[in-house]
Amino acid sequence: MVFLFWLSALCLGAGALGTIFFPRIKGAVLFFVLALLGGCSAAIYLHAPLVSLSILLWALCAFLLLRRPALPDGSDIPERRYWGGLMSFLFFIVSYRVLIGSTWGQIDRSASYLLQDFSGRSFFLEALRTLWGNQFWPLALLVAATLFGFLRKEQKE
Amino acid sequence: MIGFPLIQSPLGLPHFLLLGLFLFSLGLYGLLTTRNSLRFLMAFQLLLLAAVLCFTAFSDFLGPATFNGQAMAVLSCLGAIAFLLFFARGNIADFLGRGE
Repeated sequence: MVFLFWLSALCLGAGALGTIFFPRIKGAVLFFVLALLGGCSAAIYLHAPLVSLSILLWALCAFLLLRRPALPDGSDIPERRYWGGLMSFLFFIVSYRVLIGSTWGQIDRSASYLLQDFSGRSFFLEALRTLWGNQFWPLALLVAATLFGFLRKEQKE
Repeated sequence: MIGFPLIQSPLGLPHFLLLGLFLFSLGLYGLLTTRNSLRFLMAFQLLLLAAVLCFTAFSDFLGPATFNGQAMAVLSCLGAIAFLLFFARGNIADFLGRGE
């Protein structure tokens, strides 16, 4: 069953990357279907047959996008940054609230690296070590990815 | 815990959260950068897939006795399907006035 998780992670990762970065739009749709199939197998691993069936139906419907004629790129949406920022903010708030309320958030971290003496050591290395040791690095990754997206957008303009 | 604890440890909630985080980041990046209406829709649906994955993972690892997370996941899937079908008919692209 562990193999099923890594297979679904591979499908999800490759499918999501292809959806965003594959140059041809028809190929991107197929990568999107691959990501959905990865999500379907992840739901099977998580003992959720109804969710897995729903995602399978979702993948079947995604094939309809192939029948739609490829459209040229449209104009930019000026409010895009506003909506992107709002969604990131909501994601932070919701995930923080959920994690704090869960058993994962209730682990005693009173003996964390933050309480140790940092004198004579590199601040950035210690900051990285603190993030890693306290398992906050997924949050740090999200911040880095969002910043990367914004900076790339700024460069293009 | 220095090193690669996620690879060394048995599969748990952090693995699925990391997967959801990866999907969410890519979807958000796509939403912010793409100008193609179809790719815009798929980036949005990647966000929904990340949410569905996290709902299901939380339901399985934290509250297996209840099906709240799974119900939310199924509802999200049905919403995404309705959105996708609506788009496939051309209504949303016309509504946004993009890609024409």
